[in-house]
Amino acid sequence: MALAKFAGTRRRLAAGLTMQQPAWRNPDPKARYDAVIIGGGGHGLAAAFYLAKIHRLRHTAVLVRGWIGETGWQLPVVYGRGPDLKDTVGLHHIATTHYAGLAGELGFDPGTGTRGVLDIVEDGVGAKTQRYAAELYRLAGGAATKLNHEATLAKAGLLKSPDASERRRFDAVHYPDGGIADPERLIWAYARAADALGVDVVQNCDVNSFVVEGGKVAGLETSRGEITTPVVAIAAESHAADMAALAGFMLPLRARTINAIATEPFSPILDPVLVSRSAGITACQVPDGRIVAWGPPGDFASNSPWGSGRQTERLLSEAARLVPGLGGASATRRWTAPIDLTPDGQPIIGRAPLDGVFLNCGWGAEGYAALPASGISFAELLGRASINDVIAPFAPGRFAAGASLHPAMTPTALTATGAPCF
Amino acid sequence: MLLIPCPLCGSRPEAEFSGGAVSGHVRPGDEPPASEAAWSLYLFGDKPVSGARREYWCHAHGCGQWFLLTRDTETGDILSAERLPAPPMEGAGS
Repeated sequence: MALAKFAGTRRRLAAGLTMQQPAWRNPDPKARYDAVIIGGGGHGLAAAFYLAKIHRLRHTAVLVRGWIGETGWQLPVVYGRGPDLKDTVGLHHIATTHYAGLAGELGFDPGTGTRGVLDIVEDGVGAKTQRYAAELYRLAGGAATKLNHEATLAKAGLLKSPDASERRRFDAVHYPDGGIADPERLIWAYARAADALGVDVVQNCDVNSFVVEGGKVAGLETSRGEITTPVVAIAAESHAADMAALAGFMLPLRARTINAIATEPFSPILDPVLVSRSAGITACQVPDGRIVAWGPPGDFASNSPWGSGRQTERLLSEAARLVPGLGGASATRRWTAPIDLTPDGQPIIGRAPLDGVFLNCGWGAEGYAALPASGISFAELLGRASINDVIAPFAPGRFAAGASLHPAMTPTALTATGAPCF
Repeated sequence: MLLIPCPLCGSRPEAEFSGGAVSGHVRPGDEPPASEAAWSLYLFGDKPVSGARREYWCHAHGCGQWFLLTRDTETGDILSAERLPAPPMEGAGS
């Protein structure tokens, strides 16, 4: 009798589980669009979403080579840490403020968790750059607090050494608004939201060539037919150089890999994200309990799943040195994430040498951290043909012009405009 | 860890080596002065190709010799390793 009461609920529940409601349509490409974005990763989908939402440009398509969410990235998104470069701080700060409300904006939770990010140095090595980054971030309007050794250990007890005789001292900057997100859920969230606004997300669509008429892009030849469009955006990250080659120009990108390891799952032991400047690694505990750590990119060209063995060895030894408290934990998995690096390590956003083509690539490992801000600014570029202040420094022509971006190591100019933060 | 076959020392672990610059990049000449585009291509044109790539490597923590390595960037396979041709001797005729 009691069960009969719930029969209806059970039936609805079963129907819900088997219905397989698709999260986005799977449309065939139309013959004509107002704009076509190549690349269904975060940057392409975010640009399409903001183009539809802010600029009401909805007759657009995002071309994806495979399926949505096939990124091969598999590292948690870490956002909200102050960058070392004044030109990127705006991008990161805007992105961080958006991440907080992204689940509501997109109607799907991208797995964001505001855990805070701890930027740490050991024994004062790198403390100057660390403080410079923190002051930049505060001037941009973000929150950053300096922590001493004891306060750092209170935030991340994992850093405490079981060996009482150890003498290392930590200095940290805590970014309370920073956190982590799930890269695949983030991409799904943008795909759903863009699709709901009428953007065609065309999957399994390879671009074969660019159609150029009178020195201007006129369309694309794809594996799913020809598409006529006056605007083409290349947001294909690790395939951006291939797309540029099809369009007839060269991009200054280098293929590298980031080496990553993951431990077995633990109960919650590490709340904030750790970014160690001394060890060169980032580590955090993902929601399933594993601790994931990754290091700087390898130093030779690679897009193999093995990456650089030397970097993985360094990563393991540095991780063991940084968190000796983790003692007997074993790395149960290692993998590599492909990245594209520009000569100055900063992204390329702007107009391509071919008229009507726009670029958003070369993000290195920082792409997800800046994602919402990149999407908004790139949509503004595509929709209004205007380059805002946030993305102005990342013009594609800066390398040939000798205007590469490098961190300024003299914080004097900063303290002249505002009182020192600490 | 890659095992790299040094032409002089045999297979040694990747950690002993440095390098990886792609071969075949020719520095633009001064006479006549090269164009900006040629310089950009020379300085930044390390295109991320997938597949076989010929590169200069140095057995830095070994015999110290530079050599040519052909490597598949997608699979990590080493396809071949060759010694560089000996540089011409100073004043060795025409």
